[in-house]
Amino acid sequence: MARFEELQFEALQAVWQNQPQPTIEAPDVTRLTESLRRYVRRIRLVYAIKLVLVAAVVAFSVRHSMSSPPATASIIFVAAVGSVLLYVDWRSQRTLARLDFTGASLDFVGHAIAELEEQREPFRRYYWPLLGTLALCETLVYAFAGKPASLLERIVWQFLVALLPFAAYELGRRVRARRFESECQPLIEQLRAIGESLKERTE
Amino acid sequence: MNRAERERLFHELFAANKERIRRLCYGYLGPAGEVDDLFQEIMVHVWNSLPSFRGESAPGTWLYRIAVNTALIYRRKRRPTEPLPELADCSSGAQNYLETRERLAALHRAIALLADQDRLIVTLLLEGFSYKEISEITGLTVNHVGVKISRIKQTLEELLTEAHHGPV
Repeated sequence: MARFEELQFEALQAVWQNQPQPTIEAPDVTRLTESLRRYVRRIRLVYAIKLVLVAAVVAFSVRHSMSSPPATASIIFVAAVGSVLLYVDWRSQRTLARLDFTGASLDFVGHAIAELEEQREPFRRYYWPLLGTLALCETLVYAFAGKPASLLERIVWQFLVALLPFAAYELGRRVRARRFESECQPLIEQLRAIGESLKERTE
Repeated sequence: MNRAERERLFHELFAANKERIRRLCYGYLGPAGEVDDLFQEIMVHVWNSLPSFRGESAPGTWLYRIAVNTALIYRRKRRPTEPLPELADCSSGAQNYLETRERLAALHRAIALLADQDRLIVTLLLEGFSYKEISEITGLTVNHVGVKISRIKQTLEELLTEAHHGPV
């Protein structure tokens, strides 16, 4: 072992450090910046579309409930909650895109795993406050602006309307989970293995 | 830090470290890897991280942290195998040239058999980083780095011996 360390490893270092390299051109910093800008533009576009959709639904709903101020107020509240959800999602994406690569690897790996795990369900902490508020507001909107109907019909519709945000959330969660499994999970596993191996106790 | 200063620092770091960083990419990904892709990604992260560079650690250590972390999070795209680079200088004799080439190829093959993090550590060691510098880059204690390196060297020795004499 000592022979290898003293003689062979130095020789290997020399071979390694003198290995030929292709000519490496200095990267064009404008192009480097452009790749990040493209990514940021894409993310902004996605969220702009989502925001427009929320705004369109709200505008449509307000227009059809003009006669009822409580319904209009509830719709505006729904819009506010929708915006908060979009903001939380955007912030979580932004944090992931801005991982600090300058830290020591052990900290970096732990931080990257935590940020990637956060992508699994970024709204977990806000589930009941936000979805509960949405369900309540939609119930109020329907109660004040719904068309006249029989009691049974109203109860069924009221129930369905209250259920809508939870169903939409569940659908979104499943779509996200599938994307997460294919995009993030392999990377998380790779990082976990590396983290475990780095931390591995030495006898 | 203004744009001109950032560009100047970037080019300085690039000129001083481009070959070492490329060797790290090569060592980490192996002959089948997308070395240029990883190299480019490292440069993007270096450029983006420059505004936060405070000079608290040596520029080389700072740059290598980014390089190692980028490599750790890099996802391979499985492209066709890239051949080992040709050795250009054979003026010292054909025999010597072939020996060096064979040795380099064997070293690359042996490194490729190590685990991800071990490949990075051995690459840092081959570049001549001290245990303390490797500890600053990885976040491990110096003692832990020492033990890891000892194990990696042992594995490397076994792999290289096996490649030279065939499996025992």
